[in-house]
Amino acid sequence: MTLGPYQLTQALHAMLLDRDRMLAYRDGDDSVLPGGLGPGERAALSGRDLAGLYRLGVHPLVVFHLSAVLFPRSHYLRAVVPRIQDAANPFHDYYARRRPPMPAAGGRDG
Amino acid sequence: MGTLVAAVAMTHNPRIFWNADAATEEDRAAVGGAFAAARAALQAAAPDLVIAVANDHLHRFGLDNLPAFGVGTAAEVAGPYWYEREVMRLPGYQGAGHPDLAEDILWGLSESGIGPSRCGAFRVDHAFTVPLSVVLPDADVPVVPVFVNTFVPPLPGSARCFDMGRALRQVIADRPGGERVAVVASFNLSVEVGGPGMGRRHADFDDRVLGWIADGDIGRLVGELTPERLVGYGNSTAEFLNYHAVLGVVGERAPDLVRYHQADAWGGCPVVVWRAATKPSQPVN
Repeated sequence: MTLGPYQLTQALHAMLLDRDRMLAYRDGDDSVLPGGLGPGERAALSGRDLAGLYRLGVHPLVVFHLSAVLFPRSHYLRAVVPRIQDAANPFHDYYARRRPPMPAAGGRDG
Repeated sequence: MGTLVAAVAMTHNPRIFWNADAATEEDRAAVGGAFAAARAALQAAAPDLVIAVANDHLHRFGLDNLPAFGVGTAAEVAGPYWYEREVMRLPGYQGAGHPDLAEDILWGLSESGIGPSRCGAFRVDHAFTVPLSVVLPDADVPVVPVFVNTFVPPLPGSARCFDMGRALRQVIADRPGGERVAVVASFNLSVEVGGPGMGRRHADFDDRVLGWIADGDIGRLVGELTPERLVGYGNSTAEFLNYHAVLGVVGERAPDLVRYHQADAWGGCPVVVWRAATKPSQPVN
């Protein structure tokens, strides 16, 4: 069982807005993590693995905001962006996936 | 009958504050000068009320309930959120709301088919507090925030945002007692936050759009810059949808001032001003 991209984003959104809870997480207290996490989700959060959270489908804004609290400002650009270059994310890639394909080349009957 | 007395659309780039120490004197002078010009224009217009159009960065609204457009109806407007203030060192804003104007906006936008959501309890994040703290440093004019979804797909289309602005224009025209109303909005050119394109600038896109802005080319700005195309230049580039709304308010008129500064430490910082913009009493076609 896992939360999945939508519930995990929502759960982290709630944690981010709770100052005391978020500062506890920053200081190493994993007891404040959301309930219902799957093993991969828990591992990413326990490891402060932001690229992992992005790959799990958390909205990029929420991942970046977590980074703002957990790490120095330059961390995301230096340590996360290089690791998500080929990563899929349902929020980031929404329009790329929905962009209509180019017309197929070839004859009328394919 | 109300009057639109000025409109300002400007950056809310948090790095101006979060990375303030890394900027050059040239950066500070350029952006500070543009901010001062926007502030002077708004103060000269002496508005009685301000409508602020900006996006929420997944703070007030979450994935459980995220409207395309939301109207803040509370008596107070305050922000930003705790870590924006404590960690990012972003400016705060605390001032009066205006429930009566907010109700008129809700009604007018609903009658126009825009379908906004009522937002009776809220804080505003830096997309509001940065521009408001610049142009209303004393927070002495009531503000009604209008939230635009620019981050959680599907986004409202550029034409719909433009139409929302036209509906706001009509709401201003229909206000009683000769009220003077200004619009303050925030927007970006190409920028990505949190995605793989972060740190990558699309200068060709920025230059082309700045030309359309200076020309007041509504056809291209609204017709070409659809959400699908905007996010192709960065996920936060979709914050340009706020600018589409301002275009709907000011109508067919080029801005009086366009400033843009690209700082290595900050990224792009646009500021656009319309002084004594199109009178809302003119018919809306």
